[in-house]
Amino acid sequence: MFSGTLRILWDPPLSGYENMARDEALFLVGEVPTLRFFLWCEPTLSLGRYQRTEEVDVAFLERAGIPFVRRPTGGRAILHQDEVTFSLFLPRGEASYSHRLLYAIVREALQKSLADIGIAVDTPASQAPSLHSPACFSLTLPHELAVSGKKVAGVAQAQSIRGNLFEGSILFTLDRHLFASCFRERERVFQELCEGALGLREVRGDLTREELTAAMVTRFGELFEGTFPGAWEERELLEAEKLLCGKYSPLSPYHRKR
Amino acid sequence: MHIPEDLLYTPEHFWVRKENGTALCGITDYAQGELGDVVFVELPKVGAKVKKGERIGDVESIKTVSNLYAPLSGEIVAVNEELASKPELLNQDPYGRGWICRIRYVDAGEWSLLLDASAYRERVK
Repeated sequence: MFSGTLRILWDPPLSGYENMARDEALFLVGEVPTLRFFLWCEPTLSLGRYQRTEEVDVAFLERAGIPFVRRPTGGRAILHQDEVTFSLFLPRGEASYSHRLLYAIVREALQKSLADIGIAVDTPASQAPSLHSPACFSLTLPHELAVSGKKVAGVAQAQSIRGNLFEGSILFTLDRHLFASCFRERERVFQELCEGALGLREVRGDLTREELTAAMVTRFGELFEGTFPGAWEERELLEAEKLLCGKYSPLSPYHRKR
Repeated sequence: MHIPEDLLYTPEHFWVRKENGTALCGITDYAQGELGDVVFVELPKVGAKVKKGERIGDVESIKTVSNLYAPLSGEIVAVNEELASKPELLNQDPYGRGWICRIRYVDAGEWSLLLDASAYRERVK
């Protein structure tokens, strides 16, 4: 489907600010197709690029010591705790498709990855739900994945003339109380998460991160001419550092805009 | 897919109409169809000096943030404030009430770099 090989990056636990600065650096200066797996050094709430901050209970987050960070991609907020988080960067040469077709390609790779580890996902919904919710995992869009009607993976995207960046979150366990407490409409969100979201360990209690990421490397690699274990390039890290000192610094107004 | 004959286009799916020394612009019907339901538009700032091809804003649809690029170099002299509360106008009326901005262009030579309707149609078919 795509030419070239897919670089695989494994990052250690980082702050939300560092993680998002690295993703945006890939989007801004990356040149090779890249699948990045990353971890969070503490529970962190990420907001969609243009999500309204007023939907979030900032006072609660401050009391609970949960930082919040804005993503470069769209969509709604996610409390990152026990999950597999990934980003996928496709340079324009690899991504001369519509964002919807690319969503479908990513969805299929994730679906196959989960099938490889014994988890069958639902057939995609034919159309998006019309409801609005501040929490990503309250609603499953057609390009996302659900098991028995409950969402297990959320994916958002950013696209430019340079390429497409996907950010995805696959839940292992879901602390519905804590997740819902991050929002002003906590009771409504709690109800939505109870009815509409699921951690994969509720499906397979012995599931490991290594199993899932190995399956993803295989399935995403099949879209290319294979994979290679890569490293960050210096200019990518320099860009990330620059972003971390500006737009993605912890005190940056960017995280609270809108 | 509607591609009016009297407009010019960019490969990044902007349409442009010359009006009294300014260029009125927005995204094409093809672009709005590809994007899906637009839920937010980040407009350029009035007074901003822009270069052709430079990012001037974003639209969000289906959890995707898509960059918007200036079709011509110049100064942004007006933006469609109605899009702040009604982003769906980009889908409903991309060549009318869904216009995005007006640019006072500074390089008339850049008009020759735009595509006519038939060239744009070829590009997106």
